[in-house]
Amino acid sequence: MSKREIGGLLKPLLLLLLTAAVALAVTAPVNALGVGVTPAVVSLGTIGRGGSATQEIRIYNTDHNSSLSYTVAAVNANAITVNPSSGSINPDTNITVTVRADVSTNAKDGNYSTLLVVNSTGGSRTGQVIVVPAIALPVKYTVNGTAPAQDPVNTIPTVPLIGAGIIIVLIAAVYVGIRRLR
Amino acid sequence: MTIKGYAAAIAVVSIALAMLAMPTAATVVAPPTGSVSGTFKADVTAPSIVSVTGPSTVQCIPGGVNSLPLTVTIQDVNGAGALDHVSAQLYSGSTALGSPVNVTGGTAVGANQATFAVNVPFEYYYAAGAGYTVVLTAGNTAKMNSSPSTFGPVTYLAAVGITIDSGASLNFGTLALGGTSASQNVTLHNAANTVIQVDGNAPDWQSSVSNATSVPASTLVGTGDGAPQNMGQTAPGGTLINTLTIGGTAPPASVPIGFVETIPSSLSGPYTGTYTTTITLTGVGS
Repeated sequence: MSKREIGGLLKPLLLLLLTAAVALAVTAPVNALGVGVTPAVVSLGTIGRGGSATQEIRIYNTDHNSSLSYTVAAVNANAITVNPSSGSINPDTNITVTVRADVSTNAKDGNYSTLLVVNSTGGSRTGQVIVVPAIALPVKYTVNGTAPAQDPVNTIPTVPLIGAGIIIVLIAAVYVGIRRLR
Repeated sequence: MTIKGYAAAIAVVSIALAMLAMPTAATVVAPPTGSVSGTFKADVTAPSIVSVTGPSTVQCIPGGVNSLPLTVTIQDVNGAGALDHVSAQLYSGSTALGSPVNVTGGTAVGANQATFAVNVPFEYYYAAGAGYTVVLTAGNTAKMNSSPSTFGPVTYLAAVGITIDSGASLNFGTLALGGTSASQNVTLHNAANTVIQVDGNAPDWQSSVSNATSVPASTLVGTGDGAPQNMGQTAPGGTLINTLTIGGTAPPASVPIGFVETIPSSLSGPYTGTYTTTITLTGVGS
């Protein structure tokens, strides 16, 4: 076999090896766990005693390869609930959860704040120490006065009905009176 | 006449002609006087931007990129077919961010106008705030550009985010009572547009053997840009990094946190097996 023939055989082999190396480099997964939340502050505004308020937040999985399992809870704040408070987020996507404040009827006027913590889990990774990202963001609301009472759902509007009844009775009386006069 | 004779004659004639062509004081002609009146029509004119519409806010997508969608209407007296492209450049104050966006292929509206859909990218690492503007120019097929038009101000809404770049799994090897491990590094970066601090905490180490004693998480110490913190603190934990900055004009650099485990010289119960724990690094917004 001549040198030229050997070179002709080696060339495509080298090209194949180079292509394989590049493909391996491109498909190597990036191990970058990440979590994000919008907005940066949960502001629930002013709430009266006995009232409630809600705001939606979005939780982002910034990883391109792995799903992110999360839990959400407020730190030492019974008035704050989150729905859904746990779940899973696909890579490069986000989910919406609702943060709700229920103010008790004996709460005092004033500004309230706590931290809402979004924790993630280690997923399928194993090792002596798993390191996971989390986010803590402020939740703020103000209590002022008492929430307005809600309109009863099945209350009959008595005043208009009585008025209509009186008018009907009067018309009937006039009609009967006219008939008798005839 | 010989050849030499012809050459001499040509040379003489050439010199004479050259002398005639040379300007002299006597040959300078006075400029014409008087005026010219009339009208003319230019062959081409520059396009102009009629209007730019779009939202006044953009939401940051942690670790990603969002777009400010603008609708740009431009016109050209040479007809809608002459309108070629719109160019848009995002600014924060006087600082240009990213590369200009060039959009071709507008939709004709009437005889002389066209609309272009322009999406201006906002990277996650641009700072949250209200000082953003977009400067737009339009160009036509005659390579003439419009005067610049500014859209804004635009507010970039705030988000919080954190990404662990490396060290998501650590291994401290085999340690004896009283032994101290080598430092293990975790690197992370800010994944959104607001400054955060990073706190850390972990539960106690648990053995793979059911009756073995646990090892307090307080024996695991992390060091960022501040004082060392043990991980046995209530969540979100002790502050490991006081300020995890955003990128601004480029993605933020990774910041390291070193972790060292020191096994106590004595434990209250049997100790055996492989011990594990989970460190939570919490990005705390303000």
